Amino acid sequence: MSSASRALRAEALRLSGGRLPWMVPLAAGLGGTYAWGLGAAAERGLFGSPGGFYVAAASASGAADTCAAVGALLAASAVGGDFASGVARTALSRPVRRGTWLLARIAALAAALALLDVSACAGAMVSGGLRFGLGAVAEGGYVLASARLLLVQLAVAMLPALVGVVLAVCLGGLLGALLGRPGPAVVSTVLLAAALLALARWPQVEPLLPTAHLTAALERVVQLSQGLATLHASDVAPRDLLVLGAWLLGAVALVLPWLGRKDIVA
Amino acid sequence: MPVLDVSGIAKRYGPIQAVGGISFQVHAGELVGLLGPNGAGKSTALRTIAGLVHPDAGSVSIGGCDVGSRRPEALAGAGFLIEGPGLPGELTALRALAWVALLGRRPVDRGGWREVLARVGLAEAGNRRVRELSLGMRQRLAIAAALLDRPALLVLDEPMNGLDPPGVRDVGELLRTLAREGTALLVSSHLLDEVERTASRVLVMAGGRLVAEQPVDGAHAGALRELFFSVTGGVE
Repeated sequence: MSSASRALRAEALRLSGGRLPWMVPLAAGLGGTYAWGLGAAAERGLFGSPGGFYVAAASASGAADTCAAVGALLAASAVGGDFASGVARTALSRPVRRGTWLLARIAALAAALALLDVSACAGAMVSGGLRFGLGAVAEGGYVLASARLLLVQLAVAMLPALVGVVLAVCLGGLLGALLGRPGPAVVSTVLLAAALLALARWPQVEPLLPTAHLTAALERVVQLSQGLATLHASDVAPRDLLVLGAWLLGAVALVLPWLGRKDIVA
Repeated sequence: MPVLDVSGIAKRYGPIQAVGGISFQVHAGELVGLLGPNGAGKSTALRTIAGLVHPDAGSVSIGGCDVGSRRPEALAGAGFLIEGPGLPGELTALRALAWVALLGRRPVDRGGWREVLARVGLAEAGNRRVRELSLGMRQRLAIAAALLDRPALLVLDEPMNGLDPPGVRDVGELLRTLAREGTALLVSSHLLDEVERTASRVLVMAGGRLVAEQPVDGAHAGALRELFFSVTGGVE
């Protein structure tokens, strides 16, 4: 077994013994409940359209935003806590590369958040299916989007959403490692998120920001499931993945060399 | 060949010279006590040996491997307890050992975890969460974690911290047994009497420098205390 896979197993072990096992069904339940409420509002004509794919896609979008925000804060707190409590000191006095351990810690947290996101989306899908059925979007006898098309587009749109959640966890975790204490790491993560949202107000800059790509593909599915003419998720997902992937690699490439030079002190 | 070879390491934090060019060696079967008043530079020296701190000058090698350039290979032959027990509080004692073992290089062996737990007197505490253990028990658990890979070198920073008198006695006996089995040990402590009972040689640091190095003669009780106060200027 390689050093990286052993480190990943070690960090997964830390999560498996905690709250994760009961948070997965909880996330599914919350996703389902949110979708059910969204369906009730759509039925009354408040917004959207009363369809299974609409509530599933809209709920998936909300779940991705929530998991990204919670994941970034959780990772900042967890990794900052590791450095403050001496857990990182113990890990880094073992025969494992510093970058390998940190990436394993972040990857385990990211996988946990991605699992919660998928669970919430599955819950929303089941809820939408039970309430409205997962059928085609049609106007009269004319099918605007088949059930198969919507299902494929929803699955494709989940990819950038999951990568976005992983990126958010990664940014939070790297800030935790940089600052070495949970409080300042959490505050810095909030400030970073606020800065990204503020920058998104400039149309020239927005396409380069990760915040614009987290749920962009899911929003296409939301529109498609309402019978609106729009680009498909599969049209925008490659660009989303490119931008999110570039941020992910860039952040790791910036922080890991610094971690290699850092003195691990109390 | 020494198991641990420290050669001229120096470390400065801003205006403070934490360690000012110290050199020493520790051989197999030797238990070396590292003494010094607060701020003498002991912890910085131990962190440097563990590869946690990069020295401004000098080098550390463990089993012939340079810690600076081949850190994972060098640390594979060593166990460390640096500045208290830093283990994940959410895990049980056994799972904490599994976590430490997975960050190592040897095969993961559940029987081995139970053996080291028994060795530090925690055989009954394997299923208790780390955060629920007393400070003394966490300290013993951290010593168990350092022993997991049967290291050729054991570096312990204040291993008696938080231990009750029977705990101090038991850990002292464990360290002597490990030395008899051929492990090289470097142990920092403020407990001069305990060091006098366990160590075969002492190094005394003050102001970031090594100010004394001599074998411990157990026949003269209190000799170490006299040496310590004479070379550190009476500062404890």
